[in-house]
Amino acid sequence: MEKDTSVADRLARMKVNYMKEGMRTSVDGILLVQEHNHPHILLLQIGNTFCKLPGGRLKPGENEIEGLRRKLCSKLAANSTSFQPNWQIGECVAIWWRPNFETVMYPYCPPHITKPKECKKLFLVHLSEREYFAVPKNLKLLAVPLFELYDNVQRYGPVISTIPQQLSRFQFNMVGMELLDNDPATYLKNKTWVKETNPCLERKIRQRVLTPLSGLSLSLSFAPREFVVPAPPTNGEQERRQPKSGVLAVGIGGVGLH
Amino acid sequence: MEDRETFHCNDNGDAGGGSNVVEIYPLSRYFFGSKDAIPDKDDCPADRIQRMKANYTARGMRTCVHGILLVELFQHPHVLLLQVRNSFFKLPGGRLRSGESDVEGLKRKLSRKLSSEEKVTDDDWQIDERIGMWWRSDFETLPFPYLPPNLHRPKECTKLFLVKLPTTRHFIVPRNLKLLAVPLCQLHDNNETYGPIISGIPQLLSKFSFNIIQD
Repeated sequence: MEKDTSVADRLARMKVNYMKEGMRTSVDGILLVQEHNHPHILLLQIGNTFCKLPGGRLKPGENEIEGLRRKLCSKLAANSTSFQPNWQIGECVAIWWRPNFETVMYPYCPPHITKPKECKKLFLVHLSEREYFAVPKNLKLLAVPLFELYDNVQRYGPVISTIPQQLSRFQFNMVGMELLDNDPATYLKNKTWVKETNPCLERKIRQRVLTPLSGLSLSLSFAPREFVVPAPPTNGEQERRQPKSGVLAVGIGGVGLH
Repeated sequence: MEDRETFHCNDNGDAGGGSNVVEIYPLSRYFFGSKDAIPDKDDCPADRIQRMKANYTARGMRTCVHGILLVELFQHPHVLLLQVRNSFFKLPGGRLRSGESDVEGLKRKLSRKLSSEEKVTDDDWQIDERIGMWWRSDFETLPFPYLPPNLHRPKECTKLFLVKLPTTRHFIVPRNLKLLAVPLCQLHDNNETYGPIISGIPQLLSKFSFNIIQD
C-alpha cells in the first residue's frame, strides 16, 4: 500500500517525520535470481513505470537487519504464517545519502552537510532453494537483468541503476541449470509467482499452485519462464566448487509446492 | 563535526563482510617528489590498440589491476589519480604478468608509479578488498561492470582494489605524470571527464565508513 500519491507528498511526509524522529534510515534488499545465466534483481513496480527495491524505513531505534526482514515480509511474504521465508540478509553493498528534502541522493555524505535527511542502505539478500512470494495487488514483481539496469538512470534512478557496479566485485556462481530436469513433478510448468494477497490467501494460493496457471502473470523484462532452484550445496561441497572467497552463489527463486 | 559521527554505519557484524570502516589521513601527511619519466609505450591511441591486439593474440585476456588510494582534504575523501599529458586520468595500476597474482601485480605497479626506484623491491602496500570488476569485449569499446551474457571471450578484465595508506608516506611520481587528489563529489556522475570506471568509484566506496584521522 503506497502512502503517497506524488513526489511532493512523499517529501512533505518525510519532512514531518524528520521533525519528529530525526534522520530517516531506510534499508532495501537486493534479491538476486538467475535467468539465462545472467544475474537479475527483483524489483517492485508501482503503476507502469516507477520501480523500487523491496524495503523501507526503519522504526526509530530498530536494528537494520531486523528492519529489513520486517520490510521484506511485508512486501513479499504471504500473510499466512506457514509461508514465511527465512530471509538471509548478507552484507551491505551501498549507502546513499539525501542531504535535503529533495529527490537527489549521493553515494557519500556531501561535504558541508552535517544533517543529512536520509540514509539509505542496500543489503544483499540470499535466496534459498525455493521461495514463496506473495506480492500486494497494486505492485508487480519484476526480475530485471543487470545489463538492463546499468547506465539506465532515466528508467531506474541513480540508486538502482548503479547496483551492477556495486555487485561487480562478486563472481557469480550460476546455480541451477543442470537440475532443471530432475524434478518435473515439483515445479510448475508456466507461471510461478503469486500476485495477490488478501484474507483468503491460503486457499487461493493452494488452488493456483496445484493447477497450471494461465491467468496469473509475472511481468518479466524478458520471456517468462519457470524458476527452479536446486538445493544449495552443503558447506563441504561449497568449498570444493568455490575455492575463492568473494564468490557468491546465486539461486533462482521459485514457488514450492506444499 | 559531531553530528557526522552518528551517521557512520555501525558495524553490526552483518553476515557478509569484514569491517567496513576505513581510516584515511589528511593530504598534508603525505610528501611528493619526482623521478625519471616512464616513457610512453605508444605514440598514439591507434598504436595502443595494435599493441593490445597483438598481446591478446599472444597471451589471451588482459587482466589489469588498479588501486584506489584515499586521502582526506576539506573533510571529504579524495582519490589519488595520475594525469597523463594534462589530458586523461588513470588510477595507479596496470597489466598483470602471466601467472602473477592480483595482489603481487598491484604492489608491483603501485611501486613502479608511486615509489622511488630503490624501494621497488621491498615496498609495503596494504592491499585491501576488491571493490569492483569491469569487463571489455574489445579494446576500443566501453567496459561493463558485469560479464555481458553473450560475451564468451572478453578481451580485458579490470579489477579495482582498495589500498589502505599508512599514516604518512613519500610518493615519488614519474616526471611525465601528475598526481592529483580528486574529491569523490567531483568524480560522481562525471563520466565525460573521468570515464565510467573512475566516475563510478564513489558508488563502489559508498558502503565504507571513512574515519578521518586528524592531527
